[in-house]
Amino acid sequence: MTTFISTIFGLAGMLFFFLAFIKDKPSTKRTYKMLAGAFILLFPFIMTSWVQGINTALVYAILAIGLNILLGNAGQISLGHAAFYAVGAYISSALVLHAELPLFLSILLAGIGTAIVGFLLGTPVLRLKGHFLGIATLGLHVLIYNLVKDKLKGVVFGASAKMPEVHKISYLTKSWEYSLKNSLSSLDYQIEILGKSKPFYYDFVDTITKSIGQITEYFIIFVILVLLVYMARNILRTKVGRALAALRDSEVAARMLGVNIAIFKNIAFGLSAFYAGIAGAIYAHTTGALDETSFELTISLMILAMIIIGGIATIQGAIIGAFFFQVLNMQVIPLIFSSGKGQMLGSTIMGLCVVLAVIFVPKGIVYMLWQMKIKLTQKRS
Amino acid sequence: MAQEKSGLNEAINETVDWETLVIEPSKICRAPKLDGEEVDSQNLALKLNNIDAYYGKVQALRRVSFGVPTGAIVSLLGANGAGKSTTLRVISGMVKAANGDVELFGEKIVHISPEKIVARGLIHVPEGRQVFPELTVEENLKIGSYSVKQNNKERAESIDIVYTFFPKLKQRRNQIGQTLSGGEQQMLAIGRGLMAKPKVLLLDEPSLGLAPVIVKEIFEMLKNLNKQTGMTILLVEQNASKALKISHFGFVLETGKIVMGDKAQVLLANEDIKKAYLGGH
Ligand SMILES: Nc1ncnc2c1ncn2[C@@H]1O[C@H](COP(=O)(O)OP(=O)(O)O)[C@@H](O)[C@H]1O
Ligand SMILES: [Mg+2]
Repeated sequence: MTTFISTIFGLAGMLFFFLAFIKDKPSTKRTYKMLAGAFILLFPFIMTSWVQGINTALVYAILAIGLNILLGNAGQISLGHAAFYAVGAYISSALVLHAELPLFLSILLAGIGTAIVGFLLGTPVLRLKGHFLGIATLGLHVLIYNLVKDKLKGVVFGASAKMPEVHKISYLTKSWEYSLKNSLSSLDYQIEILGKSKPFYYDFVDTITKSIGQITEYFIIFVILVLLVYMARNILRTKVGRALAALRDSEVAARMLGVNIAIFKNIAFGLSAFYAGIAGAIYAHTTGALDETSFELTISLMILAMIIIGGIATIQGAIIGAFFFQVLNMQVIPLIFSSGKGQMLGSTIMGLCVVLAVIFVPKGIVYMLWQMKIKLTQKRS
Repeated sequence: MAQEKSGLNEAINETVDWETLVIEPSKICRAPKLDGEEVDSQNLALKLNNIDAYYGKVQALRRVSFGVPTGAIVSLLGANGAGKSTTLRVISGMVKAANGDVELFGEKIVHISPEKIVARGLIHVPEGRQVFPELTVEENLKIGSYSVKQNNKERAESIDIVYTFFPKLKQRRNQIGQTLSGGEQQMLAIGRGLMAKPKVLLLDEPSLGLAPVIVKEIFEMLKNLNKQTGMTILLVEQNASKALKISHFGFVLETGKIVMGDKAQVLLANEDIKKAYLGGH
């Protein structure tokens, strides 16, 4: 029953997003936008089993937006983006554990710190172009990955490699969780001892209590994502954004107009590292266990694939790509293949998706949606 | 070798030592006239002095020397591969000269980066236009103003000025670069250059691949631009007769060497030049 409701709810939500995107008439568009907004707010309470997976999708969306600034907007490839993800995770962990800074400050500082690392590393690496740049960023990844694995992990976390509960985002609502638990046990008492009937909201409150940590994370990450989208949009609309686009379209022409391309390559690298750093910090404060496999090369490649499938050089594309992959990975694939085998087949299917996307929708899902929108408006007029 | 090509070169070589001479328009004539306007040929906006330039081991320019008077339109003519584009690239800093000096209003710029040369008021509109294909006309123009400090209002005014020179661009303002026709792209490339408010404008074959009507339109515009703003223009062209008609001076490059320079009218009347470069026009 609950699966049925949550499936209907999820499909309705997707429909709202789609219609809000497709519709042109301002009043209709606004209605669907509000419905989509309501969906976003209600989602974690109704599709509770999805929340954890979607939280990961939100983090990937942040990563993808960042990489897209570098790849889509500035035209510079990076195959080692997961390295910055790791840098952000470790900076933020070190800040809360050793400098005892508050959570959100350390997430912000992790973003800034990673941006500085990216900006500085950009200087030697970004002199290279195309394939060579790809290889150099790959090397950068290996370097940072091993540094993290062999050195930083022990220094930051000691033997445990665990983030204590107090430093997790979910800890913010710990007291709510306790009071919910208390009221549940008082309900239990009334049902068992006093023989009252089970109130209709009992199961609902029970589920919420169990997943309140994830729900908190969901809202916090969502707000951070919104802020970062807003920031990316504004940056890309200004002088910096135009300079990056000029760099992508023609380095020579950009130079001839007086654009200092060296600086802007660094800025692009720094900006995308900022996003990766924030994503990494969020990762550290949600999962709590900083296992180096979370920063493996496959993550870099997956983010790349998300951008390609979602739609290169657009913020929407990056978000759509991240959700597409994550939903496929967390929900659809396990649904088709039960248990262990699914994991391996999962990567195969995702690889297949990339190949199919490159062949059939080379510009990504978001362009496909735009095409649909154009066709629909033409039909009407 | 250059000298083997035609009677033209032999004639020149008899009279002048081309290896050592720095050709300045001031040496050619004192007060050139075009449409009743005078240009002070002593006052050079650009001066090239014995420039050598290489691509790897291939020498593209040999001791190239000439001057461009402030406020003049000067044509740099020559066949394909003569080194015209290379000359412009050396001036704008995109290619480093192996030897020699470039002076912009009396200051040496030969070791300065392209960005800084732009900031000093020199814009090079490259061969093949190079508009940014995925940016709109207006965004392309905005990038042009990159080197000038101005607020949004001032920039909007600059854009309007470009639109008065190229009304077609205004109609296309929200279209992306790659959807423009060749002529419109050329206009955009020039307009984008103008956004930097240059004192000196280098143009590399603006007529290339364009219909005669469009070429006429663009050349008219350049003439107007020069007249109205006094902007110094160095125009590289293969279309020699059209270029000379709007120019005060012309220089001829042949396999990396300047082989001739004179007032535009004189070059236009020169039989050898006609034979070598104006054929068919
Ligand atoms: N990027 C380059 N790399 C190597 N050789 C070049 C390059 N550009 C031009 N050249 C060579 O330099 C010479 C001059 O070329 P260029 O300045 O482009 O001539 P023009 O503009 O007069 O046609 C030619 O021999 C050409 O082949
Ligand atoms: Mg050329």
